[in-house]
Amino acid sequence: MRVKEEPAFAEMVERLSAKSRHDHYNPYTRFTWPDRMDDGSWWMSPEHLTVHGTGLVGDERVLRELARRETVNFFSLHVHGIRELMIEVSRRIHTPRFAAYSEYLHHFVGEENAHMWFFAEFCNRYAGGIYPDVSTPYQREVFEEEWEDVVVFARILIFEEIFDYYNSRMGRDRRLPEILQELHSVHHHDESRHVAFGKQFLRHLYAHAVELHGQGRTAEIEDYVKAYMAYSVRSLYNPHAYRDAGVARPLEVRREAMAHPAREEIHRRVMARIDRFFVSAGIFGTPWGGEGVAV
Amino acid sequence: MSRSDHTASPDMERVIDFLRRRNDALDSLDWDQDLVEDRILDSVGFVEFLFLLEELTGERIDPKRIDAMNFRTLNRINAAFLAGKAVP
Repeated sequence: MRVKEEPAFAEMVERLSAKSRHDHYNPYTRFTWPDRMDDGSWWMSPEHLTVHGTGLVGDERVLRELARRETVNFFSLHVHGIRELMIEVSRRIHTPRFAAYSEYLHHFVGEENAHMWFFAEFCNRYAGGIYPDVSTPYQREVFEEEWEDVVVFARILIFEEIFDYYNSRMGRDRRLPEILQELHSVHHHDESRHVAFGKQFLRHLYAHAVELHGQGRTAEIEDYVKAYMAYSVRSLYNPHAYRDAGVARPLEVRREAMAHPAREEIHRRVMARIDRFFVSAGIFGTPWGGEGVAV
Repeated sequence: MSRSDHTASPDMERVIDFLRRRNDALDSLDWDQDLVEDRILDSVGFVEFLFLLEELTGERIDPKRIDAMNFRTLNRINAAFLAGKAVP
């Protein structure tokens, strides 16, 4: 790892660690949780529902219920997704390859642990719990450890970018209950540090992997990361959330929604920033551009 | 048991069609082909496949009760999820 040779990056890591120390809060006392959440308000901005722009669901009562269920899905994705990624980060803290970043990674794990708690807490308090994890029982092919580092931190960035897209918007949406605005907003605030670190770190990891192993894997890594982007977008469309909200033909509606031209444009928009980053960092030869979401 | 022992039901045809669209290395005649080893069913495609099976069976599949072995071959998928359904 070349952090010692890159003072600007080392400085940034130290600055972000200092900011994490300064901004630290106790998640268990940070929020005032209301007793009830049944005032009929939108839990998710209607324009951020996965059926928005498709005309597939017209009944506003169903849409309002879908806003509730898709909020639960969104938070559940965070809980399950970040658990897997925290395990990967924890495996690396204080190992020789990551020793130089260990302090920052402690902040990362601590903050993600807080996020995981408050998103799950919301679902447990007001929605009967989170959706179960439906991740694969199979292990994907394992690459050399330096390429595995690239894959793990690329996945973290994709995950953070998706959340940040919605958090930054819904944290400001006054139609949402205050507690939801606050959860989105606090998450957005913390994630801006993680994204700043993640982008620079991924450039380092990628350069290091190429230096050690050459270009042989790069096409495979690009394919995998793009497939993961498509998978991440698809995970927003949960047929169980559709069914629970009262959407008729949930699986068909999901398929139609994911393939709808209006949605394709939104998928590209949600991922635009990270897609541009992957191209500019040389990790992608061509942009992802929304490919592979429709099934 | 190979494919020749079966008449593929419309549901199994949809399973085969789904898997073939993901990877054309699927041999629809060999129902004992290892779908995981041959990378036909992979980690990012698994959830979609689960949703397809839910659609075909009309039942929610409890993720806690997923046995990875039941997804390894077409024969296993048929036996675990679809064999109880009548073949027209």
